[in-house]
This record gives sequence, C-alpha cells and structure tokens, in this order.
Amino acid sequence: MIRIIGLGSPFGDDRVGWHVIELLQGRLDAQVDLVTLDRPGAAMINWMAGVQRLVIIDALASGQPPGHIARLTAADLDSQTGGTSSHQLDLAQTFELACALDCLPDQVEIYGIEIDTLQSAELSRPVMDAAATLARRLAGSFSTAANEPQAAMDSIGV
Amino acid sequence: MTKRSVSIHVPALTRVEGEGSLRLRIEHGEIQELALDIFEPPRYFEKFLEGRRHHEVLDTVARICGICPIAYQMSAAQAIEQAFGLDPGPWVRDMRRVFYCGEWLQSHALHVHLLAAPDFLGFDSVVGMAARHPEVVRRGLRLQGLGNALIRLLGGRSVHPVGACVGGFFRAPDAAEVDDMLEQLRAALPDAHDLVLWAAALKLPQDEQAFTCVALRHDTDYPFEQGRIVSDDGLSVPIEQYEDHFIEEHRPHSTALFSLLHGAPYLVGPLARLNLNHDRLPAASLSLLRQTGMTFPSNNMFHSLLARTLEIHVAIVEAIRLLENYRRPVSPQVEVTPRAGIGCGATEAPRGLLWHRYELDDQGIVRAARIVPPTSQNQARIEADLRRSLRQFGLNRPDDKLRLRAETVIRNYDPCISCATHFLKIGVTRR
Repeated sequence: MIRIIGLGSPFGDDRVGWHVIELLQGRLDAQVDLVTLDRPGAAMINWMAGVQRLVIIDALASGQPPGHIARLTAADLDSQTGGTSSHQLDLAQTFELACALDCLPDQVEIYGIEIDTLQSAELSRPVMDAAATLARRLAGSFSTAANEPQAAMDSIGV
Repeated sequence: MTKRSVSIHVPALTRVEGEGSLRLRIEHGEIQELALDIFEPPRYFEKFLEGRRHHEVLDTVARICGICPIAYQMSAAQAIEQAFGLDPGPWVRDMRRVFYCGEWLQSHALHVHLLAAPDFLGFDSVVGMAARHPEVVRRGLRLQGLGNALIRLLGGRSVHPVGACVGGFFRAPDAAEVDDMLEQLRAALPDAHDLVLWAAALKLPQDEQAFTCVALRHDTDYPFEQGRIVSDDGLSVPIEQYEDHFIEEHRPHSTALFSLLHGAPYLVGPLARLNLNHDRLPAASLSLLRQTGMTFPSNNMFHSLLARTLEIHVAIVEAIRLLENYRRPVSPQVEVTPRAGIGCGATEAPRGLLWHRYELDDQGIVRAARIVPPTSQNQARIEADLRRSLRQFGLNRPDDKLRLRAETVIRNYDPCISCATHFLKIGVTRR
C-alpha cells in the first residue's frame, strides 16, 4: 500500500501539507491512501502498518526562498535526541522509533515546502503555487489517469 | 555529610509536556533552594473566553491542550449547562463517558510508554526502549491508537475534536460504527490486561510518603465526569464549593499558579483517583488488580504508573459496557436556552481534577471564566515530593544521578506544563 501523509496545522503556510492532500483528492489511483495529521509522533506510527511506500508532505523552514520544494529522506532529518514528549516527538524521532519497531516502510520520501508566514489565515502565494506544483507531480507519479501529466519526481529540487 | 556545595540546573526538562526547569541548590548537605520554574508564557485563555458566546467555548478550551482537549470540553459543557439549568440526559452522559474513556486511553498509553517507562527500564528515550522491548512499545501504540479511534467516534477527529457541544453532541454514531468500535475494544482487552501485569512486575522505586489525595467520587461509578470533590483527610463537598476550600497563589518562579487545599499541597491524578475510588472499579478491573497482588490506597507515588495502566483497563471495560447498551437517539443533543447565571464543572482529566467556573449573561455570553488545571494543582506537591525524594535518594550522589532522579520524580506526575501554562529545565548548585 502507498500512503501519503500531509502534516500541518490551520495556521498560515503551515497548512501546506494539508492543502496538498486536498489537491490530491480524487486524482490518484485507489490504492493510494491520503491522510492528514497535525503532528508526527506515536499516532503516525500506527499509520505505517502495511505501508510499503510512505510519502510525507510537511512545511519546511530551512532558509530557502518561500515555495522551494525539497525532497528529503529520513536520513536527512536532524533529530533532537532525548527531548521527546508526547507533544513533541519530531519527524526524525518518529522514524527512529518506527525503525526500532521494525515498521518503517521500505520506501520513505519526504517533501518539504519552504514556508513564508504563519501570521495569515491563508497560504502565501509562493507556497500555494508550490503546493499545486507538488500535487501535480505526485498525481503524475501515483495516477494512471491519462490527463495527468507524467512527471519524474526526481525533477523536484533538493 | 558532604562539605561541597552543589548546584544543579536542568535548563530544559525532557519527556514532559511544555517548558519548565528545575533549580536545586544544596549547601552542606541540605537543600537550600528547590524550585520548579515554569516559564512557558501564560496563555490567558480565561480572558480570551470573556465576551465569547456559549457555543464558542468548547472549541476554544479544546485548544488549551493537544493531549486532553476532551477534559476541557467536558468540564466546560457541564459548567455552562449548570448555569443554564440544563440536564442533557442519560444518553449524553453515557456518551461523554465513552468519549472520556478514549482520552484516558490515548493520554495514559502515551505517558506510560513514551514518557515514564524509559525511566524505569533504564533508557534515555522510547527509541532506545523500543529496540529492546519492541512488543511493549507496539502494545502501547496499539492502545494509544484505540484511544484515538474512540475519540474520533464521537469527536469527528482525534485532535481537538469537534463533535461535542453544550447540550450533547452534534452527531450520534450509527449502529455499524458502534459495532466496529466494540469489536476493536474487545480485541484490545488482552493488551490492557497484559499491560497491567507488566506494570505490576516493574521494579519501581520504593518511596513511601505522606500526601493528601483529591479526586471526584461518585455514588456508584469510577469517576470520570461526575461526583463530589473528596480528599482522604475527610473533605467531601459538591463541586460548587471548590473555591471555599482550595486556593491558588502566584509564586515568583512560575507562570503557573500553585494550588493548596486548606493551605497545604495535595495530589490529583490517577494515583489519587485510585486511592480514593478503588472500591468503585469495574469488577473486571478490580479482579485484575487483585491478580497483581498490589493493594490500594498506596503511598508510593511511583504506583502512579500502575494506576495509569489500570485506568487504561477501566476505560476499555467501561466503554464496552456503555456501547453494548447503545441506542441511537432521536437527537444527540438537547435544546439550549441561555439564561444568566453561574455554573461550575469538574471532571477527571487524565492528569487529575479539572475545575471550571463560568459566569454567563442572559444572551449566553461569557462574562467571567476560571479554569484550574490538574498540573497547577500538583505543582506544590511535586516540589514537596522532590525535597523528600532527593533527600531519601541521597544528596551526596553525583549530579547526573540526582538530576535523573529529580526528572523521574517530576515525570511521574505527567505534568502538562502547557495546560498549567503557568512549567521544566534542572540547575543544582552545591557549596
């Protein structure tokens, strides 16, 4: 099974993970499952059961221009070791825990969209555009529908 | 006795919810200063609520905590309904209890496995523990996931659920959803049973101490959402009389308030609840407790872990009982007619008694609100426990051992600093 998880919150550009999932609704093959979560952590591990390929979409703050799409692997993430709380098991710690429990899917891809602001209720323009770009490319990758342009996922910047 | 002076500062306490620190200064083998500094900024929720309409309150208070939003919603609903003179009836009461079972399940399962157990098994974090005890952690995550599913059944979603309202719920689950949930709950009973036996077999520190327990107590049921406020030193009052007996005070090192009962610290939470209500356990949970050979009341604070696991069992047994009798009602809520008044609500959040008071006008607009979360109530108790526990542990021990014991003592209370808003990082100074 393939599962795509959008992580986010209702606040400004942090909503981008959820927004990409909204854009993907109805555009993918039936075996691709779409999920929105408000945080990584223990609950996310329960969403890994039976999944061979996991795609995570999350907001990113790395100093790149707003709207920049980065494709990452679990190994690229920086874990803050020892600081776990049930409010704050970060994405890297969640993958470490899943790995220790031998339930980390065989393939894990992470797409981070560089965000601009959390102050507005709406997504900023560059982030909204990047969400549409990512959704189009994921739809191309996970859909056999003829009208979706096929795009190589590798073409997304790192 | 050591001549050295020790200063331990834990600048950011880990495996607790929110931000706080511990300062410890030991001079000539005596604790001269011990303070739980809570510096997470105050969140002013009580002020945000002023001017809000009654139907906005539940969505607002759910945001106080990402772990126990239901507790906030249930105490608020109860208080507003009391102010309006509204009785939502037995179906709503039963479903609120089921809803609450979901929150106890997910919150307790998280605390036991992610936060507390690594202390007692000698690991820094759940990641290290999972490598050695994967089945224990998997079981914990299954139980936590079950709690979330139960919350979704009535709340629509598991984080900041939106299904509850003043007067009841927005939607009643259909029979198929309830049957599916019942199947999941029944399948989880062996996990809950094994978890209790596992917890009872853990080598927990032996640390007997005197403390006052406070919890709700109901005529017949283990307390979730109803009862009188009782203590083990004779207090038994209706929830409306809370302010006659409990005070909150500011201390300079904390943005959380310190609560006192008749001027003294007290304990709320799973151990207090079990100590005061072990005779109200469902028969299956009582039988399981007897199987462990453990007896309550207990004055070993570390038995909180066992109490939490037993309450996971209680939550599953109780949810099964209530859902087996499920009938879909004509309407999941009763009509709400605002009227001016003051109402109080008190329920048992996973971390303990959560008391609310609202003053509303004849339009149902909040004019004043007061919220007393469990962690504020436990703060004075945590400091008292630390003083005693560290002295008993041995103040001459190396700093890293002292620090670990201090953190273990604090985590045992499952403090939610974000809720208390008003919390942990340790610094030890020795001279």
